[in-house]
Amino acid sequence: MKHCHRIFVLLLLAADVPALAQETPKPTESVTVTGIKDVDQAVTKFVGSMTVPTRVADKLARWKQGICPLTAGLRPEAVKFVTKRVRDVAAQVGAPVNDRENCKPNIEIIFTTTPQALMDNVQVMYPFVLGYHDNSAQAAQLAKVIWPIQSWYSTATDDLRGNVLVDMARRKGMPMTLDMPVASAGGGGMQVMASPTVTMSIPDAQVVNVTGSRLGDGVSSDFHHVAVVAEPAKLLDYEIGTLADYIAFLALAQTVQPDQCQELPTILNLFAPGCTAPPKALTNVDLAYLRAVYKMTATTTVRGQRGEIIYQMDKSLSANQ
Amino acid sequence: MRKSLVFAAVMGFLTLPALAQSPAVSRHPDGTGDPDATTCRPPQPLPASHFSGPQVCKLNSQWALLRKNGEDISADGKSIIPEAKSGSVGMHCNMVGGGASTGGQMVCQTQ
Repeated sequence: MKHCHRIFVLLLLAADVPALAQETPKPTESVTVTGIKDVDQAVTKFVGSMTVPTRVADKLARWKQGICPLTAGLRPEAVKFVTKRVRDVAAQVGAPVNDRENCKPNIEIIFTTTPQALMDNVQVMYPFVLGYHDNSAQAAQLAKVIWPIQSWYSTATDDLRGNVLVDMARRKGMPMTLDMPVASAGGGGMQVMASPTVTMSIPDAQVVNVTGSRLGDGVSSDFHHVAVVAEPAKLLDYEIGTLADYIAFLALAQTVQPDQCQELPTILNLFAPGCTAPPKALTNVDLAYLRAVYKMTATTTVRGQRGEIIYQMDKSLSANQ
Repeated sequence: MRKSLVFAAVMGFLTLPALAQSPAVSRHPDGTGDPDATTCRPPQPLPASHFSGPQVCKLNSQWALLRKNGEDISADGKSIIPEAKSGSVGMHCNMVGGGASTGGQMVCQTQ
């Protein structure tokens, strides 16, 4: 597992990919949220529909370890540009960034002409990259490439004592040793004798230390690895700056890629059907959302986390108006 | 009496050993069977080496996906390679019939 990332990178680098036309990057778009009757309601709807809690901890995941993006499949200058943009956006919204030159990549951004073949190979060799799944049918579903740019999230659960466990099924379970009282025969009823030790195996179980509080159990979800795969042939009409911003958003927050146009101006509308003029860069809404994700309490309930994001976004967007 | 029965039931449950199912082994797994069951391919000789690679174990669904795409896993188990043409893969040949002096007939079967 230790070398999986490197091998995955090599696999991806080996993919046959053409260079994508590079154009001058555009600065972040400053979009004032006007023309929306009820911004609070729109924000609540946006957060409710876009956020994805993790399967294991039921929390919203974010980066805890410094991000280290790696881009492949483009010309060197475009590779540098996309990687830098992801790093810059991360720094801008308060996500941790790994500044070491030779850091171990945990965000892999791959441009390939054969995205489905790539994800088929990932399903065979590195299924953890697809994210949590219980069985092969779910893995196959996850591996389907639907969007011109698509992301996959492998998450981990951090418990109260800082133990980190990558979210995946098919664990070997855990043994639990118990001292069991044994009844002896004879006499008037049960007698307890010297305790034999009984070991039982609980498949799929994992040990997690929690607080027991209803407000927050002390458990949080982190990103372990994020893969973003893009198909250049479907992206010829877009500027590299726009694509880099879209990728940055996907790389920093686990999001549902919308299948209909969102009311709030967001770069996530880029590939949403029915959007006539989607933003060409990250908007104030996007930045407010990402900042809020990296400000929220990691250990509170998902409901609490969504509430915090909505509060922060409302505050940020009303300050911009 | 009732307590003893409950206790016995609990003990029976706890001490029941996990039925460890050893994975199936095939020289050329084709992905048939339970998609969530594991099938292992025995070690294959590494190219240009006297050594063999590792045993490669994958889910049947993963073997099936490889076969669907005309692919296989390399002998070292580290990468995906194009599948060798049928007839050269997993062919197992035996001499049948005949004696030491009369010879016999070579019968080959794919595994």
